[in-house]
Amino acid sequence: MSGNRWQLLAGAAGILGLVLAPTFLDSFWVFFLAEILLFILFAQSFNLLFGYTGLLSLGQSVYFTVGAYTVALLIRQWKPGVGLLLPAGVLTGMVSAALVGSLAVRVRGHGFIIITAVPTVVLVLLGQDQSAWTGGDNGLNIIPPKLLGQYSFFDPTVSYYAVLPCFLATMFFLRWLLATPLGQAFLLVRENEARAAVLGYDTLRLKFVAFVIAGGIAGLAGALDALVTAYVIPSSASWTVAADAIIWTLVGGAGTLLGPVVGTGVLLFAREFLSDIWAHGYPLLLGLVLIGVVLFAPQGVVGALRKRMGG
Amino acid sequence: MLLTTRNLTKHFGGVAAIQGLDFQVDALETRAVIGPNGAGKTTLLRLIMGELTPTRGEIFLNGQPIHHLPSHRIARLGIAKAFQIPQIFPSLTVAQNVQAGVGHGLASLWLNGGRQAQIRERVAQVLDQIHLADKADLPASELAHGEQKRLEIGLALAQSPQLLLLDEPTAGLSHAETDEIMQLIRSLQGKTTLVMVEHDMRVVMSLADTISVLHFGQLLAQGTPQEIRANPKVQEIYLSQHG
Repeated sequence: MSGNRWQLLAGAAGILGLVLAPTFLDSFWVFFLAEILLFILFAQSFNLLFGYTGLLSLGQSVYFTVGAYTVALLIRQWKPGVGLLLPAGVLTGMVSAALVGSLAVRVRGHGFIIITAVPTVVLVLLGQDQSAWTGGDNGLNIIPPKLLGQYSFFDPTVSYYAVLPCFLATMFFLRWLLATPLGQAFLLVRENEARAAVLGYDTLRLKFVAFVIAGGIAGLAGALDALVTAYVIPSSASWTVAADAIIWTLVGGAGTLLGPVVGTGVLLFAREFLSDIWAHGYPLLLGLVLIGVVLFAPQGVVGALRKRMGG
Repeated sequence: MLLTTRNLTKHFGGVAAIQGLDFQVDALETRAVIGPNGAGKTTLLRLIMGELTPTRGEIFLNGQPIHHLPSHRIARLGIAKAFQIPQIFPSLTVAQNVQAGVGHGLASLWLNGGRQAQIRERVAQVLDQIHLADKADLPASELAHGEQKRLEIGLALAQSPQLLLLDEPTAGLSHAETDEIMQLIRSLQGKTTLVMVEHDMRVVMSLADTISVLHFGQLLAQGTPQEIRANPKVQEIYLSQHG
């Protein structure tokens, strides 16, 4: 019971810290924190699939990019408000995930990984080829609409306060979802899919639902990224971008909601910090961290800490 | 007839595991399926459960064809199976494992949210039945093998099946643990239809109403335990195996 109370307290303190962050950080770090938050959402989309449902998707970058381009192209055509752009990014993320997912969930193991990875290649090539409306290798600069009609996204604090509610809402949504019987059923698929089917669970449909929800979360992250950076580029669909989410999640701890938060935060911070002082520092550090995690904490940092405190 | 198979056949490559099997089970009987290794016993259970699709032939539950259905649909019609090697959810608790058996499909997963109390009650019932109430909050992976076998049966029981398939429920268990499983099966007899594949003749002879002997995927003999014990054909295949 007291453990729960501490968790609640830590959570409340964390949220308060996030809400107040722009008052004590300079604008560079505020912008950087906004980026971290939206990339945490991106990692959570992978975490929902791999950590909770046991599906190793190598293609979450596709739904991220679809969400981002939905925002960019809608702005170019009709200049709708943020209240429409974000749901549109979620929706197109879900629809494109439904298309890929309807095929992918029918195959297991390597087949699943390959089917999720193929669209990353297709989308990058398609984006480069259709440069007239995607910007090709140069990407597209966009002018985001003003938030609430008056606040410009070019102000990092505005960007931050646009991302923060989305971040918190998604985290609470995931927390709620995973506690429902549906979320519990995702775990059964992860633990023993064949057994779940024999118990009466329609595992294909469960995997499909998880895949579509994860697509929506990646789409939201992509839409936020487009607004915050005012820039979209086809190469963000690349599987190497998807791999970032995988690494952040695995280092932090897959199958926990806190894992991707820690993994994304620490590794993005390390990348930013090291890039200024030593160009090759980040890849080297990342390599060492990955080796360390695989050897000493295969369940990630949060998984290892939880185990230590539990045992 | 609760369960009927007609001309049921399953080939693996060129090998016929089940060959033109006509097999019937009455409601509420306890049926044992025995036979030498490779006789097709486990294949028969997997075909009934929809884990395999027949090469030929049909399976009916209460007269309804089920051989074309996926496992989860068959489960929802009231067939449950306890696997030989426990197929539990290792990192979930014992109670969560049992609860997984109470749940159903996607639509009812949302509805289940509204009947938590009923589900908890059912989980507690099953935990009592399998004598694991005191370990409800342990991760299933921490159970001893005998306990995992009981939990495996508990998962199937939680579904409240009309037909319960038991694949070697006592395999790898000590004498005492076997007794415990036999007690559990006795408590189900007359309430649920049971079809069990079993090697331990003590279990088979003391629990089964009827014994079906499979040999090379076909029905070699069928009858009461006394009839099967006295059957010269059965003695022959068992003697040639074990003698």
